[in-house]
Amino acid sequence: MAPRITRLALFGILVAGCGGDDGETVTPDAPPVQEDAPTGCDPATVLPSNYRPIAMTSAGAVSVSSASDVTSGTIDATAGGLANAPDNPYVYVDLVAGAKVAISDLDARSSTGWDLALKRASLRVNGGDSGMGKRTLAVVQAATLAEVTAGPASGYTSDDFTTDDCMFVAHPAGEPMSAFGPWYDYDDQTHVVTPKAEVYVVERDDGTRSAFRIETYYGDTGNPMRGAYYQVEWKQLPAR
Amino acid sequence: MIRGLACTLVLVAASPADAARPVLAGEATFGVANGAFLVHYATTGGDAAPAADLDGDAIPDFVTEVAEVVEDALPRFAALGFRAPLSDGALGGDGRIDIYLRDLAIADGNTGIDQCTGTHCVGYIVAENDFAGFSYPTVGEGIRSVAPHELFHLIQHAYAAEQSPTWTEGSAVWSVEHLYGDGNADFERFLPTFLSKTFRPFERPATGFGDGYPYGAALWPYFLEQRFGAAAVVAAWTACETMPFADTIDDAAWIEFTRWNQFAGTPASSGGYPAAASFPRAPREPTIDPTIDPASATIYVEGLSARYVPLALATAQQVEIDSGPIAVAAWIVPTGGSLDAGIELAPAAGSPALVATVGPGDHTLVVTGLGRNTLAAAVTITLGEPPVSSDDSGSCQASPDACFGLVGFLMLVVVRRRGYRPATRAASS
Repeated sequence: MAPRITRLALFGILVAGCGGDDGETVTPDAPPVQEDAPTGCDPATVLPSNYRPIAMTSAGAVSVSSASDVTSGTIDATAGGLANAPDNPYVYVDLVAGAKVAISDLDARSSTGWDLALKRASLRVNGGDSGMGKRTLAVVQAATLAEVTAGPASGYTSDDFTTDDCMFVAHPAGEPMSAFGPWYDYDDQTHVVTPKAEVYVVERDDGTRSAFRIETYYGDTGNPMRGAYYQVEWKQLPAR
Repeated sequence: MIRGLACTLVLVAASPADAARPVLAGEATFGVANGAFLVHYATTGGDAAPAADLDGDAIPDFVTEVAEVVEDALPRFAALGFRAPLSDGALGGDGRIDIYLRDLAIADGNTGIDQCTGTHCVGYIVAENDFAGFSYPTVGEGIRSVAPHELFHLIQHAYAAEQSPTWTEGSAVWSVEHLYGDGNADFERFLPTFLSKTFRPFERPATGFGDGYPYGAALWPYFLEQRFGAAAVVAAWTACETMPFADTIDDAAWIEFTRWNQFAGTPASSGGYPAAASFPRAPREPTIDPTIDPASATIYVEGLSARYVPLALATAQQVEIDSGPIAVAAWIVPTGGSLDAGIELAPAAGSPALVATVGPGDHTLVVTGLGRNTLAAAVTITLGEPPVSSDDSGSCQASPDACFGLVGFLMLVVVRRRGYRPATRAASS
């Protein structure tokens, strides 16, 4: 087995511990339980503290502009920095409106108004365990957005970070398992996060689709070492 | 899935002899005579230990110090009642506990696992080879902070591997504090990372990079030791063989812990921690002052947590808390008061709310979350005139301070009785 880093938490090694998690579970806002969750298990209640729903709206900006059919810009998902991120919310994005959705993590659970949520290296899509938006996502191997002119016919999945017995499922670095999959490569010597050559196609319940690409995790030109400041681009695709 | 797997570790076939263990350039080893540890160190390359050998025994002084620190720590942990690390057989060359010194990049120590049977695991220690580039005030403090910490992880593996980092790291930092007290500042360095986040749900595991909270969570076992004795920490680890850490936390102990934390950063005579005055203060919510603000406020409470709400009262007030779906305990202590001066909010007749009447002055309301993996819930705090409904209450109305004293006395009894319940669920199991 690989060594476990146990001092000064190394990226991704400190995964969730054991837990029954079935005691005194309550849902104060009473959103419907997500469709693939077993009865009585709210996926949000099994999230580790770093990704638990926060009762506030993100201060992170979504700064984008559109040219031709492509929307591009930055999404500030820094969430207060590494040390404060556990207590700051995701930033929510509507890919059709091309704008941030000002909504708390708690309210996002029952909202259909957002497509993607970002917080540090955690990316989620509004469906499955993440929300009631019935979005699914397909991962397309493509280095540029232009390469993707239509969504694939199949391969769409939704976020699924709980097991049937209410256990948390994480990506290798500890983020909740989402339809994005392990979207980046991590260099454990330089600690640099590099997005894979992938384009993500979001499909909505009405059949509309958007293609989303991450150019870099370090999109703050004034501070190029600042992670979780995404440079992104997206466009609308033909509907299903 | 990771979580599920972590909780259902099965016997893993023994790997080829120490195949995964570090390989050091020009490896040499050292162990004290009749000792329990074998320190592996490189004699060349980037992993090499500092060569200084002032005592001329042909062993680098750094290596000798590492060995002496862990040889001192192990029997002291055993004296508290902790198990020894499980034997690794002949891995590493013999049956001694192996410590490999390496030039580590960001973390300064880790434990490796060779194999597990159920929740019990066998492993080894990797520790920084020279502490160059780390911020410890001395190399010796680096050794004393890291080597026993990693040893304690091996001890944990004799009970239950893969518990929440909040417990594994927290109790490892506590173990160093137990050994050295004021002679080492590791505990104090991490303390702000917990005391600045008292609103976080303690029972939820932490993941990720850059968050010191699990280390600062050493305050919980520190509290257990101060309040109930180190046996409570041993008992909690024993209980982890059959339950997750969060289930070892007793509500009454948690309530008392959050009230001790109210006194962090105040004179030591006020609260339970001997060194409370040197601790950072827990964060405060905005002050509720009914003379200038609406006499109500909403705070969010989740899981096992605490919120500290200052109250500025010109007159006696009835304080009422409606916590909705989450279970809470609430307690009010006057500014400058001590643990014994607090007033417990009690269930109101015919209402789910908790209420108490307090006299004028500055106070802090401590709202303790008692949920487990709950979502953040809005808790409403409402201040109002004390009720007038009987002769007794009429006299209180006329003399709020006298009423405060009577209520305070009754509540003190409640608090003390609660406080002296058996230590923790773990301790009684």
